[in-house]
Amino acid sequence: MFAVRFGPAAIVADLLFGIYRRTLGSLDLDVRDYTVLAIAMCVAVLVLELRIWRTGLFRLRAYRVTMMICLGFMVLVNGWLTKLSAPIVAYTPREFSGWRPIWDVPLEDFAFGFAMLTFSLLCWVRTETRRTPFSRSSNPDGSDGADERP
Amino acid sequence: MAHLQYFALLGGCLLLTLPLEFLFQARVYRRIGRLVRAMAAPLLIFWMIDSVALVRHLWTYSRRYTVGLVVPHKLPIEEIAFFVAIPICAILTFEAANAVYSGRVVAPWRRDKGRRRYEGRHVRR
Repeated sequence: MFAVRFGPAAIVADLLFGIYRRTLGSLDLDVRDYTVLAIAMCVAVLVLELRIWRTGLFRLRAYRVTMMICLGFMVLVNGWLTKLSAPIVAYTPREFSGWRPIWDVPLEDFAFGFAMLTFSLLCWVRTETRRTPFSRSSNPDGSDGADERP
Repeated sequence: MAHLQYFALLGGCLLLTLPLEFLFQARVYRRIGRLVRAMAAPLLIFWMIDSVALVRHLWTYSRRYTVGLVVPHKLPIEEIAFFVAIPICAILTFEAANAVYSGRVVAPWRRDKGRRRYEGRHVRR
């Protein structure tokens, strides 16, 4: 059961995975684990930013441009890692959707990449100690108006 | 040489993004302490997710294209490098874009124009 033995966090993760497996497995559905994982990661990151941390990262033009640039390079790098002719990472066919839109990159990898990069950038922005350098408003106390938060 | 392929790929990514640090004054490597603090949580979380995925056979790693060193949770050491290198690339890109959009740095392709504009302001004063 606890195939991952090292560290309490891994045990918790494995336990959650086991519960998820029991619940969904008993429904006799065709559940693709990587698909579920990828969606869960995206939802977790979105909830973390929009409901908990609220750094305002998504409103930054720099963030959106970064994600577009990274998407471009991700196709190249990920394509190299997952190309079916000589894969460095091989995916279990029954655990992902089977869609490989471009250069054999699984669709789920795009979601994984989005979650990973966004989470990393969130953590980076969170470690900023000075006054909010990312907001374009010149207002020093950060209250730049209506669309801030309810 | 094939064993080094994954590492070479990551090295290429870091090399390609290195100029951002200087050309755009991204100032990411220069704030190494902050970088370490920011990267700790993502590294641990993705290490955990990756090891669970590996143990549950969501994906496997080629023995041919990795050096063969593994870390606890049976992950190839390249994956740890991946979770360090790729976010650094993203942060460098973000800081470079941020430097340009905040006006802290004039983009290299606009440098001449920017200098002229600055001189004009200077003369007026």
